[in-house]
Amino acid sequence: MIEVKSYDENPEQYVLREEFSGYLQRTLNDFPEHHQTAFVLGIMQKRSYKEIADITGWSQATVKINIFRARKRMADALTEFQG
Amino acid sequence: MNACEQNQINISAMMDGELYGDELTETVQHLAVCPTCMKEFQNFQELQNRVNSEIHVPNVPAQLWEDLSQQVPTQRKTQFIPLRSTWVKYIAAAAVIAIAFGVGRVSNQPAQLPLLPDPNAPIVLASNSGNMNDAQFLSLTRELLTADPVYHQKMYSILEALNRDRGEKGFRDLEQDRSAPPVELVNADNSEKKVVYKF
Repeated sequence: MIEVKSYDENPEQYVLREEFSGYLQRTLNDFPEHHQTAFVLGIMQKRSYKEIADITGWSQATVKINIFRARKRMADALTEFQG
Repeated sequence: MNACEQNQINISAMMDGELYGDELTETVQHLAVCPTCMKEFQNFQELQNRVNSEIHVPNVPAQLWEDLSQQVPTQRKTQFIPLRSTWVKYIAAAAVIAIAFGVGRVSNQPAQLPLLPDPNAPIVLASNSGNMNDAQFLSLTRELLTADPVYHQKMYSILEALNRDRGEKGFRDLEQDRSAPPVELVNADNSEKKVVYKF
């Protein structure tokens, strides 16, 4: 997880962000490896599908599917997190 | 795999700027009529916003943005968009609408520069030239299309109106059709005809 300090958020925002950060990390750890890879490269680092295909050896169609699956899984987890 | 799941895969790709042509058109159209996919799109947006804020760079002092804002050219009051194909024309309408709505939204956030210097500036679709090539323009449009579901819905309603008004006629006919709201014909710089969308 990338550690980022923000100097303009109040304590409540900081706590909420830290809480989400931990949840994100724990949820990601439960993902299968190929979904972790897709999430980090595609959604966090926002690399192009071609770049991800070059890095992973997947086809671009597989990149597309894996990113969708990872995105959906994490979006569902976020919905659950937010109650 | 049902139709909605295929569309949600494409929505995901659209958010990443990796969807093109007919697939992009069909996905946008499907989104406008499918509450399930729209909800999923909003969930994806919420996630992306949270992830972005998680890894965002620390905000810089507001004064820096003010200083930078002063360096943004203010003479240019209109947004010129090249119209090179039918699809691009419709996307152009969507993009400029997004820009128009986007101005009001981002101007409430002091840490971001407004997209246009003047929120009241007329939005102009140039008919034959522009500063962006098609790839740059479509990239911008994709970004705008996925910026906010509210923008998306408003944009789609305009696209739908354009399609309806256009019928079997060409875009040039649409340009000449003064009854097609919200299009207004102007001759902005005495050199070419432009279509202005006012909001």
